[in-house]
Amino acid sequence: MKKIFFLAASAVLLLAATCRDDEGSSIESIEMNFKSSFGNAPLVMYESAYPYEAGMAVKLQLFQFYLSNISLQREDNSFVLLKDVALISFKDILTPAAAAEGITLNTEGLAAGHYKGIRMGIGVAPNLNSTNPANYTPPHPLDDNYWSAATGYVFIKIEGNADTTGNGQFPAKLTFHTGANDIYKEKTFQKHIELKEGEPLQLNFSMDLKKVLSKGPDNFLDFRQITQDHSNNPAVYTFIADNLFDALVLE
Amino acid sequence: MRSFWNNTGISKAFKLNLFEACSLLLLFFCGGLFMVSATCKSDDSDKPGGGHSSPTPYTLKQPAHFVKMLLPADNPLTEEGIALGRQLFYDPLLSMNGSVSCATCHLPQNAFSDGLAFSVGVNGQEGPRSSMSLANVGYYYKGLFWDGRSKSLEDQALVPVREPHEMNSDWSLVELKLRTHPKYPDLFQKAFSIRDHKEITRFLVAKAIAQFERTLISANAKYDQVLEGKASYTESEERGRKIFFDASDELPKSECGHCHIDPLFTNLDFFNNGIQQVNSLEGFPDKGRGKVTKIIYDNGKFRVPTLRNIELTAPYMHDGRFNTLEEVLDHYISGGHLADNLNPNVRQLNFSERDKTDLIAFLKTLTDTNFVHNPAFANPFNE
Repeated sequence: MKKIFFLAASAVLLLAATCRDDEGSSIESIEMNFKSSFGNAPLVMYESAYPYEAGMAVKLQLFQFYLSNISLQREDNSFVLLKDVALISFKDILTPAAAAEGITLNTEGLAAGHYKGIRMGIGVAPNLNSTNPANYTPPHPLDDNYWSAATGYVFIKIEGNADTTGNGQFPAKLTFHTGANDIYKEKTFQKHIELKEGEPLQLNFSMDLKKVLSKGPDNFLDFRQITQDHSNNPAVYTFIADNLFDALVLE
Repeated sequence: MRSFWNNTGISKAFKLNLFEACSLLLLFFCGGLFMVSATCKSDDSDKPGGGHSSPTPYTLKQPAHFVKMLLPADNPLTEEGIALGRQLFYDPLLSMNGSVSCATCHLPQNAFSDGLAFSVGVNGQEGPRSSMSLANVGYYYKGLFWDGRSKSLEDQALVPVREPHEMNSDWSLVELKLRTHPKYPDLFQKAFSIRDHKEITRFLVAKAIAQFERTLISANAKYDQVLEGKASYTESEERGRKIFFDASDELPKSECGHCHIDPLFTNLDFFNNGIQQVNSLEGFPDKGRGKVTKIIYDNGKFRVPTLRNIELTAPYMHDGRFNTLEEVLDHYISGGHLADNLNPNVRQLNFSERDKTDLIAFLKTLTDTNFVHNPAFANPFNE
């Protein structure tokens, strides 16, 4: 009896003495890096003018999108959640150097091992899209970008200006705000991912914004005709959402 | 049953077997570790509030439809702290010549703004910008002031005392006045459990004012009452609401809701809304956010102000250039002055006079008379 008491007391005290918030040598981490381009050029807000279809050119001020249910796929096809929601915003990418650095999303708390892919939803998953900023304490990805009239979040924002005549002036104001449950889609990138103990893993994603706006010279958002959509026109917002889904690439 | 200590008394300690001895050693070692671990944590006795008498915790009643307020762990709300902050907010003692208090530029009847294009400080000195409403200022986590230069209410509260065009004083002098004041040492003691009047510092002043400001919640306008089912809009207000939120394909879009997101009616961000005509981004007479970040594309950007109580906070914009809401709407209808960083959401609007009237009718539903007349926010020196 005494032995059991000694052991129990020692174990409790040992736990109490060593239990700290920063403990966790067995916790592995993944760094997801997102870079954006416009065609072959790195995407830089404000400064850069990018050639577009039909002799037009564009400048950007904001490009952002939500990702939901970011999960690793185990060998047995089950998934382990990395992050329920994240806002990937290129708003503060103001220099080529910042563009080369990209946007980083860190996750941790994963078990080392082999995984066969990574899945993510493009947009705000319906269960989260039914919430609103009142459910969150800032800073949180979902404390902003809420459109109360649509009782949901704006999944994708693209804002900037267009030169529609080729004269070097950019008077056309572009604002495309896309969001609705029916355009939320999940995408799985099949790739062997080995998470080794003590070795942070980096996954690199890329996104060509031009591919979001254009599928080619015969099928693009023509800024001479349309400069704005706030999920009013299904032809426009599904075009953007589908293209963004395709344009997100795991390197 | 014999007690453990009787059974393992000091006299018997040397008779333990090897296992018991090792376990006892481990027990003492772990106990020591635990004590060290516990004592390694910050010593609260050095901090205000950690002394002998504790102030009364205050639970802030936050509106259910608001985003949650971020409350700093190092400045918890207390009844005594809020009361002290209120007193300091209204006390001109903070200024050089005892003529200006926080409330000089933040009057309750103006939703804690001052009705002037440029706020006026000691000796009639005019400042460079209009005073901002403090309604719901506790929710502002992206920086304070028109340009966001202060990260927190505590940081912000330190600024006006030393600004020449505001209080034009000196913190050392203010601290001296408070320490030798007949009443304040006791109030600080109650609010922060200080032991000595010498512990009254500018930082405690800022903490107290910040506590009071966090209570300035405006969430009982007609807009809120409609949300709660306690009131209903007139036809004009409802039509204006739809225009404001771009909620109807049959009505013109105002684009207001992109930046003036409900329920705070600001997204707290910084934009160039096109009020200033410039030839280049260097040309803004007031660089606003750009002066803080040193990023040229931030030049001419200012905080999106809340539209709550907008009826009471004229004149409008950071420089008070518009006297009426009609003038503000006319600006946005024009699409604003082009610039490389003009927010693209500011675009020409196709509005009729009725559209303008209805949109303004909706904006007036954001007036919260309970807020401006709340006795808890009033000048305590008038009581």
